[in-house]
Amino acid sequence: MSDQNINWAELSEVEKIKVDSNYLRGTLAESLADPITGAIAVDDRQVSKFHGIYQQFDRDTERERKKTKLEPDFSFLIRVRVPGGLVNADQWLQMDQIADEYANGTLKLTTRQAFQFHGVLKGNLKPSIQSINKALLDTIAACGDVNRNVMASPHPYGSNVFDQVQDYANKVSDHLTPRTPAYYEIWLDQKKVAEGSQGEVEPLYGPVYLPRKFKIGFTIPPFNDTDVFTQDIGFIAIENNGVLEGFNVVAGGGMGTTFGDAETYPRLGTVLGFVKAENTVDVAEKIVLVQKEQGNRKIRKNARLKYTIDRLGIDKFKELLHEKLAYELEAAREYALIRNGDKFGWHQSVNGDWYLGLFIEGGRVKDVESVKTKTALREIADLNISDFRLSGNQNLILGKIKGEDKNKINEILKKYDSLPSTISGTRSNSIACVALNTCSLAFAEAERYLPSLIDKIENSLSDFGLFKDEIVIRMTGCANGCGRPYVAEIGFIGKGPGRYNLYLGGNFNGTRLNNLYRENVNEEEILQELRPILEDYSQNRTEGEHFGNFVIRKQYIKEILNPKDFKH
Amino acid sequence: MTNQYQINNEQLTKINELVKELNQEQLVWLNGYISGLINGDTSSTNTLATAPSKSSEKITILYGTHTGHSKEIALDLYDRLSSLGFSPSLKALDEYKKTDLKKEQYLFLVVSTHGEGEPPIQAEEFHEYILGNRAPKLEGTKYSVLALGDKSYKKFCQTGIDFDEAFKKLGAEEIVPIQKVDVAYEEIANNWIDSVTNELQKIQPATNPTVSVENSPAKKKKFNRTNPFYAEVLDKVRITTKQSEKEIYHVEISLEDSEIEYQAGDSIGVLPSNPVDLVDLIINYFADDPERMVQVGGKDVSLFRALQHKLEITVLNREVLEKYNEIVKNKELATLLENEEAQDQYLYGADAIDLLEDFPGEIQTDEFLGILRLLYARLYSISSGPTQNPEEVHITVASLRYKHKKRDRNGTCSTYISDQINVGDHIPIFIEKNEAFRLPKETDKSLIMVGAGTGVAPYRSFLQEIEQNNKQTNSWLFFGNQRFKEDFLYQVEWQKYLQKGVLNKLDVAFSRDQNEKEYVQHKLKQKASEVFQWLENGAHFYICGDKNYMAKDVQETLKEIITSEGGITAEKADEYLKKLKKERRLLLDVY
Repeated sequence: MSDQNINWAELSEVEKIKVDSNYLRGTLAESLADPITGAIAVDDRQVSKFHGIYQQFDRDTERERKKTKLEPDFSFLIRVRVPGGLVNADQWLQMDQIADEYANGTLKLTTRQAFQFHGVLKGNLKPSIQSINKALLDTIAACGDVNRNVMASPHPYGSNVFDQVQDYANKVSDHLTPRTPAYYEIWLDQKKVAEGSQGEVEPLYGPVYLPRKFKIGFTIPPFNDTDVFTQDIGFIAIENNGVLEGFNVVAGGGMGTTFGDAETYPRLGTVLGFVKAENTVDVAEKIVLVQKEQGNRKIRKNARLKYTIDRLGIDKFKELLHEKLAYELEAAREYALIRNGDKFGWHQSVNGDWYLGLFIEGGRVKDVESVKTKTALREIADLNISDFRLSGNQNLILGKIKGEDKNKINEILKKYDSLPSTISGTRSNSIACVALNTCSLAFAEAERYLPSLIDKIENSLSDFGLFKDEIVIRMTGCANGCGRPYVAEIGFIGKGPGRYNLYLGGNFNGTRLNNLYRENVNEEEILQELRPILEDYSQNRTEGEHFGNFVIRKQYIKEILNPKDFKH
Repeated sequence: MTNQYQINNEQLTKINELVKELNQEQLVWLNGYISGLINGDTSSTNTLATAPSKSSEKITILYGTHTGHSKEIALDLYDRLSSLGFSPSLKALDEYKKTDLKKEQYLFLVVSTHGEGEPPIQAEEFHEYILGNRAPKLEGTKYSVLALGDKSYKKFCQTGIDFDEAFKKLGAEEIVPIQKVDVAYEEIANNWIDSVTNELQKIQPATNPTVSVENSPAKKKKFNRTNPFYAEVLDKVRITTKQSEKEIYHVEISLEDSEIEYQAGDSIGVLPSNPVDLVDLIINYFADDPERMVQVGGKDVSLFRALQHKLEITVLNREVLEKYNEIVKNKELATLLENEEAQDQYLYGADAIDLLEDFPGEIQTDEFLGILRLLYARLYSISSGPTQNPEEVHITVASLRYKHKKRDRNGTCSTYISDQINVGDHIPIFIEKNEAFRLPKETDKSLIMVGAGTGVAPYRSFLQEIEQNNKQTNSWLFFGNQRFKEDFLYQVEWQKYLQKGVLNKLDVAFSRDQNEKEYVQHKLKQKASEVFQWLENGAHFYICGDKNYMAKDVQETLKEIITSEGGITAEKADEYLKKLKKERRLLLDVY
């Protein structure tokens, strides 16, 4: 894109904000210094996302404060980028402390393996980011129109290539991180480098960055816990006798839709082919570049790579990609994925280390009454006998534990009532986005509500002997899809207070979209709708048949073959 | 006309032919059009295709939006009408002045519905207003509503329907029936815009609208302390959060039909009632009959009424103590009366029942009534501007509550307003003029306004006036309170004034938001050089609020600023301040 010939008026307004921001500076420094408001300037709310910061406000008190002639209770979400979700014990301790000192005292583990702090006041943004920096983590590009946190399967299980895959996730992440010094100037008080002395500021992205957010995830078959088909680029590890040969490359997945806008739809990625391991970063970069040049910058709602690919056609897209690569992708290799959920409890990896999968409901690490999970994890981190791995399903895995340390961890978890207990197969496969009261996009509750809805669904599950059966259930407060609800076996998308669209028919390994079953239903209706289907499932399923496959076979719902047919 | 401008005869003939056909109005328009062409002003060439201005029709487009769709449609209508030569005005419902409603000729409303038939937050206040009994008659107003909604909800487009019904009920005439649209709204919305446009195009531009001049009647009622106006309370809303230690209310009071006029800077007097529980305590002390008739100020009233409405019982003073002791001759009290310091200490927070219990002696009810002062009015700085609110006064009231000698005490009037008065009640008020606290007569002066807590009230009035009349005034507000999040009084209003340039600068001090207490005077000190510059350039300096601490500290700080920034001695700085006062450039409203 050359600046001269751009007609900014016909582009989406965020494009102009980006170019005017002077490589993501905007007027953030001025906004932070303004004592009259807890908010930042309107354009800075776009710019701040590239720094991993969203402005939010407490929607619970919005009405009351408006009557009180006070502005909304503004606070900020800070998202910490953690490629592959892997941190050490020391970093966990520092995140724990920041949550108490500057945020609302909880840690949110996100569906992209990132940490999120909520309720950070404007005046605490800078100290928070400085503390995050001290922990050798950062927040740049955790949000915004750039490549965001790179995901990688955190489960080592039986794989020898786990460390290598994590290493490629780090490399792709580093390579696609914005280079602007704005982050360091604004948050870390580094001196501004003289104009002109810095050469090309963003050699990869340029001054307007990407048309829309961009997501990349790696997985190691047979697991699909990063939901590779929902990523802009998914990399499926192909290993041969313990050696990582390369990856199948999947492109054009994406979840977000807008109610009432038929031009938006969720789409699963298309398998493009196979890339040798050493070319992984190169392929990621070139796909990003095609999207940078071809993506729709006029209509933001149609700017994701999935729409670019559908507009160009997959052949044309591959042609453009191959033009940029000095080689062609090879034919895709065989692979098999069995599940997109996490495994819990103790497991031993091939090299003898132990791993403990912990279910964290809604990804919220907190202390509630006697269940003091946050305190327990802090004490475990204090011992420095494990690493900490955030899963793409909002859960936590304590990793690289020596056999003799297992008991210490069990003791601490027991002491704080946080020992993994029997939870239903549905709850353990649940995801809920944050939604109310802080997310400005939410129409309905999610994280605060799903646990109690599952309580009620569990009544049916128990009645039909399905308590232990794993069913992937996901809820989001709006149609933007942060919790990847469109591939769930049971998906809920918020339409309004207490009302959801109910989707059925995703499958257990995240390779099929679900379909709209009932529109705008409340709790009572949800329970009424699900109960007979669950009963039927308990009586008439075939051996090992998952719920999502069952509802399709029994024609409760049709499979969507073309994502454009998706209804919302 | 000779040919020196290179216009040939053919062209000249054409021009003359055209000009003959045009009426006066069209000639005026053409004049502007041609000068636009000469100056290369494209905006006027664009009007080539448009009709002459029909600006005499007052057309208002309002919207209430959550996602922005209603705003988009409202903008489309606005653009369409503007391009046809109408002069519509466009406003979000939360920015629209409700008092303008009765002036509307053509009113178009685009509004969405959320959840179970609820209005978007932006429309809530107006929705409540138009459905409530304060809504004005709208006879003579023509209107149409476009309602957005989602059919998957039970109460589809309910908010739009509410508005439509309310307008109808208030006597407005619907010129295009309400249209209700689902999530895919474009087509119906466009049809609605077409229908509205068609209806408006049928209207001839109004010629010379007759302005009816209503002169104020000769006999003006005069209200004062003894003859207060019983004013209706229109609104009462707490403007600090429940977490705030301060309980502060914004109260709107109607002056309708009173012909009371006021100026920015004035106060109102409110004649309060005493707390009933205190009245009961006194009557019980004397074991008297509340219905027994007694004399107060030469009039017969019941004992209860005398104590509740006529006499001051929540505060004492030295005179009351002395008169009381002339009757009871209590030795302890006599000692206290000799020690001024101890006396002040005693008076702080003590009320009539304390006096009776602390210094018992022989005294009859009527004797006791005789030594009490008449209940006086409490004054509140008016926080509304008279130009924007000619028929209303707003006040800002902090409820005073404290514990003294293990009994809860209340500030007489503030808790009277917060606890006993509800919207719709009538309270006795009068205007207390305050010529000592006025905006500068010249509109190009600068103002520095310092106020802590409810002391900010008159500045709201000032800024409302500035917004209406004196746009070129430079203004700078220093505001202080305890906590940013809980008690930043009128925060959103100051923000709007800053945006509009009505207020130029705002500095805030929140004493409890950091370890070191920070007050307005500290903020002044931080801006010393700029403050001094403003004073040197003729700024007026206002202080409003607490007399004993804040006003004293601020004046002390001002003196320091003048000393250091002016490079003069403290004595010279005193003279400087005296001069400011003499020139009426240092103005105080303190209590």
